[in-house]
Amino acid sequence: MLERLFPREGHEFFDFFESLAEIAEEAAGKLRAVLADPSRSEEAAAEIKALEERGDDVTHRAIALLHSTFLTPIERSDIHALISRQDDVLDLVDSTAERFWLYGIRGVEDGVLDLADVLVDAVSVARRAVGCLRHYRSESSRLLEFCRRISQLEKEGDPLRRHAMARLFANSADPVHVLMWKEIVRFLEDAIDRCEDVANVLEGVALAAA
Amino acid sequence: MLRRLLPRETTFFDYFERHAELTIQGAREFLDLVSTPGANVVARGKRIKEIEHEADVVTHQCVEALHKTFVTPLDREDIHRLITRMDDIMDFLESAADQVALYELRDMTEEVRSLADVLVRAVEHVAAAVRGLRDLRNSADILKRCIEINRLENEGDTILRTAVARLFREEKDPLQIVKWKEIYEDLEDATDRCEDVANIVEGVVLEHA
Repeated sequence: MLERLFPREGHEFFDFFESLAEIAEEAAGKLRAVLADPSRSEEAAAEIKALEERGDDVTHRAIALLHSTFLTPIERSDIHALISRQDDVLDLVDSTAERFWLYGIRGVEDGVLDLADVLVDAVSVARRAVGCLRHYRSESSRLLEFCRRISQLEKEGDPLRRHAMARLFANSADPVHVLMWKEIVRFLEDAIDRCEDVANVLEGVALAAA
Repeated sequence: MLRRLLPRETTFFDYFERHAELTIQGAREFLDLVSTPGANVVARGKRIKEIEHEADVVTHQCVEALHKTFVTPLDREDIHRLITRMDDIMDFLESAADQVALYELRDMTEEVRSLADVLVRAVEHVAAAVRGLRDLRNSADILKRCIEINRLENEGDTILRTAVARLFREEKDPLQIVKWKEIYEDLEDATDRCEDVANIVEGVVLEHA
C-alpha cells in the first residue's frame, strides 16, 4: 500500500554503481600495464587521474540523488557505504599510479606485478558482483559467490605482498629503491582490501534479502 | 514457546572457543620460535601457517552458520565482528611469522620476544573472555580480562615505540630497519585486534547485564 503511494525510485543508483565499477576496472587495468612498462608512467598517471575524476563525479551525483530520494531500492546506508568504498578503490588505484610516476621508478618488479594481477582480478570480480545488485533477490547466490571470490583474492594478496617485499630485500642493496616500492606495494594491498570492503557491503545486501 | 521451536544455537560459542585456542597455539609457537636460538624458522613458520589455516576454516564455518541461523544467541552483528576481529589477530601473527622466515632473519631481538610475549598473554585473556560469553554468569571476570587486554595493548604500544627507536639508533643497515619494523608492527597490530575483540566482548556483556 505504502509502496504504491510512494513507489521506490532511484533505479539510477544501479547505473551509478555499475559505472563506478567499470571505471575502477579500467583504471586497475591501466595501472597493471604501467607497472610492467614504466616508460609510460606519466601518461598512465594522467589517464588514471582522469578516470578517478570521472568516478568522483559519479559519486557526487549518487550522493545527491540519495539525498533527494524518499524510498531507495536498497537500504540507504548500504548505498552510501557501497559508493564510498567503490570510491576508495578508485582513489587508491589513482594514488598508486601517481606515486609510481612521481617517484620516477624505472624498473619492473615481478613480485609487485603478481600483486597487481590480484588487484585486477578483484576489481573485475567486484564489477561482476555489482552487476548482480539490480536483481539482488533473484541473483543473491551468484552475488554471494562473487563476494567469496573477492575475499579469497584478498587472502591471496597478503602472502604475495610479503613475497614481493622479500624479493626486494634480496635483490636490492638500495634502501631508497626498496622504500619506494614498499609504498607501491602497500597501496596495491590497500586497494585490494577496499575491494573486500565493497564485497562486504554487497554481502550484507544479499543476506538481508535472503 | 517460540524459544522451544527455535532452539538457540550454542555452536557459535564453540567456534569462538576453538578459534581462540588455535590463536593461543599459534602465538605460543611464535614466542617459542623467536626465543629459541637456532630454531628452524621455516618449519616453525609452516606450522603457524597451518594453524592459521585451521583458524580460517573455523571462521568460515562460523560465518556460514551465521547465514543459516534464524535466531542467534548474541546479536548477529556482534557475532560477525567478533569472529572477524579474532581472525585478524591470527592473520597478523601469521604475517609476522612468515616475514621472519622470508626475510631470513637469524638473530632475534629482545623486542620481538617482548612483543610476542605480550601477544601470548593477550590472546590467553581473549580466550578466557570469549569462554565467559557462553553463559555470561561471571561478567565481572570477563570485564577484568578485557581491562587486562587493554593494559597489554598499551604495553605493546610502548614496546613498539622503544623498539623502533632502538632500530633507528643502533641498526646500521636500513634494510634491516625496514624488515624489523614491519614485523614489530604486525605484532603490535595483532595485539590491537585483541583489544578490538575485548571491546566487542565488553559491549556484549554490558548489553546483557
